[in-house]
Amino acid sequence: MKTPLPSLSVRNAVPGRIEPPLGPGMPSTSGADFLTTKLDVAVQWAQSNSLWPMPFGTACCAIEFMSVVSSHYDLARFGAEVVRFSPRQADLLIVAGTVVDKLAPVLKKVYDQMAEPKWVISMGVCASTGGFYRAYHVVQGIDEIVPVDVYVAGCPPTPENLIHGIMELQKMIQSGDLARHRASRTFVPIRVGTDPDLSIPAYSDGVMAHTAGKKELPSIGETAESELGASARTAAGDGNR
Amino acid sequence: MAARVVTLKRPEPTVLEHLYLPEIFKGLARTFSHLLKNFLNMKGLPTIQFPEMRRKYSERFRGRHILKTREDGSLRCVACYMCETNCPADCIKIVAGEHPVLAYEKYPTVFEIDLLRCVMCGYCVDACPKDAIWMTKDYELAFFDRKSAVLGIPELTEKPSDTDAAGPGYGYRPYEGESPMKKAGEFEPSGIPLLPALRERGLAINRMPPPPPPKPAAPPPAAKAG
Amino acid sequence: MSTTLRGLDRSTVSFGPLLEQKLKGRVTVEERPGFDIPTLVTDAGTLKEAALFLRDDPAAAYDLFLDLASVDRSKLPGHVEGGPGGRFQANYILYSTKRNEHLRLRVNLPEKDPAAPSLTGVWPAANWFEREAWDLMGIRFDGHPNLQRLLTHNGFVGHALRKDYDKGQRWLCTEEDLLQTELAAKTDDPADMFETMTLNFGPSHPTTHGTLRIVMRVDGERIVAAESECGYLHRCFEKMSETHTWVQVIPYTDRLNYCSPMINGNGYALAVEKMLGIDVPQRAKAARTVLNEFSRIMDHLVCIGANLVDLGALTNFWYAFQPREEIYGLLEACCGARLTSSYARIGGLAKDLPENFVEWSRSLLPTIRDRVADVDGLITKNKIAWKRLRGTGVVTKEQALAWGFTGPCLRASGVAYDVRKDNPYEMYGDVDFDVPIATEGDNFARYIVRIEEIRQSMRIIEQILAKFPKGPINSDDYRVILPPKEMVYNEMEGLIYHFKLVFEGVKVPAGEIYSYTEGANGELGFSLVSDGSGFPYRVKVRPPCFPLFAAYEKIIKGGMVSDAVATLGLLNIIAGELDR
Repeated sequence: MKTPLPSLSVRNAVPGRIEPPLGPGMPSTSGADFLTTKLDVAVQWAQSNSLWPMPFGTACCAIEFMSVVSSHYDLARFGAEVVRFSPRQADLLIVAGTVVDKLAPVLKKVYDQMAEPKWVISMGVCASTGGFYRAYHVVQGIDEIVPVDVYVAGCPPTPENLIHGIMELQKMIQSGDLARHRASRTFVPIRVGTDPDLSIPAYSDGVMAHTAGKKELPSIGETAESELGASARTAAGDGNR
Repeated sequence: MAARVVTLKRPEPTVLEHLYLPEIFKGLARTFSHLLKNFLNMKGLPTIQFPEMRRKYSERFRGRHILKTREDGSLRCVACYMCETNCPADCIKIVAGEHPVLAYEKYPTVFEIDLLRCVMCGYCVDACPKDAIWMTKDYELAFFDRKSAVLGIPELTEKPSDTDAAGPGYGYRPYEGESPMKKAGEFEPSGIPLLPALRERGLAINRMPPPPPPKPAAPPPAAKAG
Repeated sequence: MSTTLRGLDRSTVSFGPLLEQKLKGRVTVEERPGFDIPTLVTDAGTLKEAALFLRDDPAAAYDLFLDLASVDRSKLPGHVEGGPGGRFQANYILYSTKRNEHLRLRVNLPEKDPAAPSLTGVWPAANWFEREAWDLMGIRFDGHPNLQRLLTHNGFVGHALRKDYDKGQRWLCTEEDLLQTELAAKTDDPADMFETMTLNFGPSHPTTHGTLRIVMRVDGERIVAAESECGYLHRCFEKMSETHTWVQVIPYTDRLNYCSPMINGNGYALAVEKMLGIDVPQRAKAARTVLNEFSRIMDHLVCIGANLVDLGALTNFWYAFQPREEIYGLLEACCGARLTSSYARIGGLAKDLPENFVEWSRSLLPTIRDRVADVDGLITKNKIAWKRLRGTGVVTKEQALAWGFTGPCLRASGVAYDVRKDNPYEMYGDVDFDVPIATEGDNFARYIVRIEEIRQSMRIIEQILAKFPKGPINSDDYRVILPPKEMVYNEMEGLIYHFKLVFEGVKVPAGEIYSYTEGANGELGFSLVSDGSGFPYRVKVRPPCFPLFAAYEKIIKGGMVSDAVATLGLLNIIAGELDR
């Protein structure tokens, strides 16, 4: 089924975008008593200092990412040198480079394969907003597809800038504000359909679920939630949407 | 002066090289010499310990933009839309207003740069005819959401912290050193005539030079090969 | 403002009379200005016959298929709907390695159902170019073995580069719209199940260096069939160019081959300068040449370093990236950014070089030499590297030509074609350098050719630095390049030129050109069409990677999966210019 997405031709247009109802943030392990609070702090400290990045490198930014991990900038100083190319082993997704419509299902799949807790850094303007590619085949920001924790500007960002972004993320994880931050972050999935009230997120699980045969897009009005039961969503590790 | 074609010969492996281990040890010697060199010269390591140590970028570095101000603190920008037009990323938004006091001059009521669209190409600086927009060496631009990446006039206006000792300093800008802009009294709208200078060089102003004429047809090859 | 443009004597083709005799008036030679390549015009019915003649006749001998540039002429001034000439044009760019000549073979196609016979049988390289033209322009090629979408996905409706396509119209892509090869479908075949299996490779895979996808049918570890797909980074460079002014396209060109952005900017600026008929000062030429060669060194270092990581030799990556970082320092001092330089301008460069440019450049060379020696010492005689690289991914000379290879990969197969040597531009005619070739055509040959090219690039840089010209960096033609700031700030006329350039863009005279330079991966061609306005009418890039990746599925067939990885790295596919 061929589905048109909203045209970008109108200057600065973000048509059809509405804020989705936000799910709960990362489930907190904190309890009321002292011990678990301290445990929380220890866990956050450990998580923030052992981020295992998975570089989803597509374009120019990936070359700068190589610079970040090589000797001049040495990401190992931040405990993040264990670059994993398997999403299942990583907890930090660094999307470096332009993501085009053809790659969108792949990015969604990679994100879904990562285990919680997971974070997303959008490196460079192409990944963040589409940059200066306001064009027929370019995703206008990966937050159409996956929620983003930190946006790093620049085209491509200097290695320092990416390290700065990672440090900001570390601070965020350590401060324990993640749940609050996630509730407020911009996740604006691109929607299919002309009527904003009835449109559905284009990259919902219903459409993207890997199925054997052809799957028609749900008709407008049918929500993504009705596609899968609540239990199926939890099993997919997708609690934050 | 010419290019020469050289065929690279690949050496046939010698017996020692076939044995695998000698070459491995040679390689190890090479890597260990690097290790030793680095140990003896810790100061000369290439690694930049980023937040504490910073790479010195040049005076042309293209980082965050600033809007320059006049002596009285008002923006130099006259909202002429040139940077907005020249921006390939369409990331500048200007709304012009008429200045309440200086009624003859326009000024920007809204001047926004979306840093998450900006590709840092410096075309806005090139385009500005009023020396109003510069770039700094500030590259630490990470945001938690898209809205905070849109900088307005308050964020863009040049601050003392941009240029003090701890600040990023100026980056890409139209000129380095003294401003070539003449002071108010010296400016002559007609200026130094450019037209005679161009004429002197034998250039017609509003006309493209004609393309070089095609040479007459080359003679057919003497003998038809094959 | 002289017009030192090459190829003045090639405005007509040397084999014209012969052609006249063989194809009796069905092929005409088009008048072209001297800076463009000669052009033959034919019709769809004669195309195949003409192509065979051009390939086979020794007087023509066009053995290399370089590009297929399609044009939608519907918005060109003077174009009449349904009038003569037709709405579409397919321009085949050919090259003869024997005679060192380029040629454009043009076919005019009607608005309704534009169709031409496929030239895949004549030049196998045409395969993917025709698929691309079908995908983006909607020109049908009869007899094509697999005329499917290539750069966009199957959920896409319409042909994006047609002038009536809205540049912002996106289409939803679901997983079902991605490549569904016959190979994948075979998995469910029970008879085949235990013999072979389907292996998906990419697009998110560390060795694809970006976004390439290969679906393989493997028997154990041996590849029995493979099908590759690109387009996972198709970010619409060509459509974007049409909506930006000539100068605004330069930042986009940086992002084509992002390992060596200066070369792209130079190639584009050179093409537009030729159309304008202007020349840049010697200093700009020298600067461009030096920066080109530094970019080439960087590109080769990335190629070798990253490929050796894929083979498990991580140390070389650090050695290769150290000089890269230092070259970045120099580039950043010139243009203000590490990677995406936006430094070339039509008529010169964005800014004059920094004062210590010559000394700085010279000081980089020892580091590069040392680190290249490190890589060379670790790899070239290493038995593991031999086993991995020697005899794998072999491309013979004939195959390389048929598949449209250029650059280091063609030279590794034994054809000494290098634009810098055969059609010198900028200052390449004034320097001595070797063009290294190898005859084996395997991965090791591609590796040693690249290593040697790094050394030759350093030789070129040294020679130019020794006599680096002084003087202005930019052309003083202010209809093309922004006037200096003191003129803009203080003089009315300077301001007027500035204003016109910013708001209207450079007015490039109507016409078209194919201009080519030597990119790090091969011939980087720009087919530009201008309608006389400030915006390009059509920009078609001839990406050097495109034919390389098109041939990849054929190269790896019969080899091991691990060899496929080595081959992919040393072909050096850069997704940015592959998909544009």
